[in-house]
Amino acid sequence: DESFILAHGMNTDHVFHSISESFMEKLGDDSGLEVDYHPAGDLGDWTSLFEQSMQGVVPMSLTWGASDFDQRLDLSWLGYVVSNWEDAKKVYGPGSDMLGIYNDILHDLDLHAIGLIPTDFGSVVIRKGVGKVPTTLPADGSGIKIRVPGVAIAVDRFTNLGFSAVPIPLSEVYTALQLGTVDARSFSTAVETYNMRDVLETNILTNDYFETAFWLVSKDWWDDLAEEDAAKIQSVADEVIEASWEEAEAKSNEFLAKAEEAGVNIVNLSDAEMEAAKAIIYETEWPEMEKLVGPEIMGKLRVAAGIE
Amino acid sequence: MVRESKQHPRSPVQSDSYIYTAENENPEPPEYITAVPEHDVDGFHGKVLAFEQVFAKIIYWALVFFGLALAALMFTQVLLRYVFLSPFVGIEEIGLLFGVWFYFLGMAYVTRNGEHIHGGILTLVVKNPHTVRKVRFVLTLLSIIAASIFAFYAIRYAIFEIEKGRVSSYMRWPKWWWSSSLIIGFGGMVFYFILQITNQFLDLKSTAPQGEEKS
Amino acid sequence: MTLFFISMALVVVLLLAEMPIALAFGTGALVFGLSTGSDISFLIPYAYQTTSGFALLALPLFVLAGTLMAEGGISERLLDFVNSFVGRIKGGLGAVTVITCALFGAISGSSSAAIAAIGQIMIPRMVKEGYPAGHATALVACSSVLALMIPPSIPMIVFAITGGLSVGAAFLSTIIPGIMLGVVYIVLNFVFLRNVDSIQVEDKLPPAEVAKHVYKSGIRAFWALLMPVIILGVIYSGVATPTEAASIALVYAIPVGFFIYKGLTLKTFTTSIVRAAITTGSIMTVLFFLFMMSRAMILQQVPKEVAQLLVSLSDNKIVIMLLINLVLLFIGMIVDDISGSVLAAIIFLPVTNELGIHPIHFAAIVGTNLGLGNVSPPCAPMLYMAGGVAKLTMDQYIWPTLKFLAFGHLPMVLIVTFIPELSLWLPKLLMGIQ
Ligand code: NA
Ligand code: NA
Repeated sequence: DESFILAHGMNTDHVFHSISESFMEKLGDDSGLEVDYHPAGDLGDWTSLFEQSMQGVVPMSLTWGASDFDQRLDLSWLGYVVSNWEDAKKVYGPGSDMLGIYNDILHDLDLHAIGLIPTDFGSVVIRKGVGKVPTTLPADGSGIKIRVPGVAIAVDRFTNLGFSAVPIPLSEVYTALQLGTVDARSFSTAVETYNMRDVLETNILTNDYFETAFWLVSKDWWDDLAEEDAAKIQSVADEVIEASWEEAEAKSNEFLAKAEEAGVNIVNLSDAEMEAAKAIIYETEWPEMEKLVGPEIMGKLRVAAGIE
Repeated sequence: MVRESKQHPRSPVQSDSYIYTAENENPEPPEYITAVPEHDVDGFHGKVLAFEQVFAKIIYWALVFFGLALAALMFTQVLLRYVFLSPFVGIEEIGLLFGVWFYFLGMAYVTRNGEHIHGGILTLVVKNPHTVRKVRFVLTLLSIIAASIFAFYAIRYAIFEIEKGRVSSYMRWPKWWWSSSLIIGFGGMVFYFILQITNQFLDLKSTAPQGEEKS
Repeated sequence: MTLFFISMALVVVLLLAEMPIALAFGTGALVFGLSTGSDISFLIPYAYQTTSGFALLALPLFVLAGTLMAEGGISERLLDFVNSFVGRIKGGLGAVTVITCALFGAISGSSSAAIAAIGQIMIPRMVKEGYPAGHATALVACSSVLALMIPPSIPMIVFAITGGLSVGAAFLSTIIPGIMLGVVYIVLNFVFLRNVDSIQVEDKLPPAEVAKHVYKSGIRAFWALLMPVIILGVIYSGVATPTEAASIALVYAIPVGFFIYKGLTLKTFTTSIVRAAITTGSIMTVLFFLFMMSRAMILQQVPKEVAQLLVSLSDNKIVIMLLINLVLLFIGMIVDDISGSVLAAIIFLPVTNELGIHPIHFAAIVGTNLGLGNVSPPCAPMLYMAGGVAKLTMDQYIWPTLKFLAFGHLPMVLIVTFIPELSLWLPKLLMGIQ
């Protein structure tokens, strides 16, 4: 029998939780594989879990790419690769090239991804009482202090989009918005917008990136696993991820509707506004990324984004 | 050096006129032995203590530096963000760099002065000073074992960060600049506990009641 | 589970034998980790990551600010001013301490910052006025929990977000219990002190004389009084986070201490900073080792197993609620408040939802309970922190603390549990929750 920890850093509303539950259920009781489930970050936040999987302390985790170990992982935050669910599934979905591209990087860190988990598109949300709706970028961003995650690509993106970017850890975003330390937050998925609805007045669907997470396993642990166990885990994971695409999209719509019902104003960018924002990202962020990961990978992504 | 009391901390900070009856009713427990003895010591022990003097001075001024640098940095951030409207996004990372060195050098210095936060029932229950000394000796021994294990893992962690080339997310500075504070913190802790147990051992020998010395 | 109880018993024995609290927990975590065969290699990195987070950076800054304020003469003038109002009432300074903690709670989400900022000033002052040192320490430790019950509160944010609840409603739920608890502590402070003769009480004066006294000490404290105004001002106007506000206070305290009140010299300045480093270092060490213990237990799913065990004991709603309170109290006793709120949201929220307990009501129960857990031994970070600030050993403040908890906080937990309206009234009124 094999017993292993599966951990992630998000709450029960999040797609990570439903994926974990469905994984454990499908794995069944008689597989000889026993999951020790640790949700909601009780073993550490997402960067810490990434690291713990590298060290093999947490053999399996659902988490994002911590680019402080390898800057190439910023690729998973790259802006405007896709802007609708259909394209997202083509680029990141089962059978796509992306998993292999990421695994080339992850293997250097003693990690292996058994799948890519779709989360949601990112939005910009505005704190209650600010009264601004920055849709024409970069002009409207001027003078707006926006929270970004503490990764370089996020700081650069929102600086390029005209905002005043302030990196704040996820655990302190709510207080920062409530106290008015920042006027806005970036990288907000629908579930997160809904969770912070009390302090928000507007959600702008900038869709500036499509969030995918890694289904990570420690490479040493994975390589030592009995072949049939690994095969069983892989096939169940594939099955769960296939189903999760529909679920992620449904969750996105559901929580956006719930946020709207709770009084958050939902705003779409017009085609012209979206094109202007995209142009900025393609001119600033993409060349920088090309320096990190090389022209081959970026070529594939340009095709995917329809800019070549 | 800051060294207000060699006693196991008993008097409230910075106050000279306090009334604390419980203390007056109990006989004073034996003096709490710390890493640095007050009397002169020679030989190898003396040389180690001379080295310690230099080490402690470095920690002392490093603490002054890190404390001030941390405050200055956070204040600068307020000015940059709200007066000059252009926050420098790396400041939080550098602030934490000063912060962890302030914490963990502080931890070593606390061990030096024997100022760790304690529980305390022993001296109320056990009235025999020799027994109290023995218990304290054993506890220091346990502390050395535990702290050495932690020091080992602290070193391993810093090595892990060096090997993986981990860098901070904004400044892109090597993360071991932060995590090596743990090595100095735990290393310093082990060092001072060893000095302390040496002094405790000498104290035990010199104060042992006659009857026990024969056995 | 047996190994867990053995390890906890070991910790308690080591604590009683006067081992440094940090190392007692460190030893316990090692013994527990090794005996259960779990991977102990990440205990240190985990504790390091948690203590080196941005959230705790307010602590050293408040400690530094507090030490320099005390050395520079700011605190003394502030307290003289406050005392010109309450100095004629026996126990008045204690009441001021409780109120200050509640007010501080309105700007800060952590009780450790409250202890650092308030305890450092109030404990020595109370002791100077003849309060028993243990009483002063216990009062600060117990009232520091008000910082968690009066929003904002970091553990409550974590609980609400983990449980998918409205953070605003969860915040509102503990306001009334928090204010009630503050009032209870003020009353208990007077009651416990009624037979203490050492407390110096100034002679009664006619109102005109009092006014003159207030005016005089107010003038003398002008620059000192400006300081809380600045701190509260920058935080409420959104100019700075509490961490940044602490740095503003610190930078303000330096010139005032050197040039206006002249309490600071180059020598006292550096020794104060090292004093602050020692206070910070001793507190951080305890937090560090508590995080380690907490990690060792969560890795073995200890809180979850304890919860399942107790909930399986009955199917009566009141009994289950009492049991849940007991387990929450227990969780609060052994882990830090942030981990405690995560565990409460994951383990109990589904159970209480099933029982028909309103989730916001449960938020209040959790908030009140974990606050209690923060000051109830053996794992009582806030209590030890107050003890560290006061430089007292545990035997000196444990009984006063238990008295405050038994007559103040514990009954409040039961009241909050069995009178839902207390926590639901404000959220219903202001946020229209159903
Ligand atoms: Na608060
Ligand atoms: Na506790």
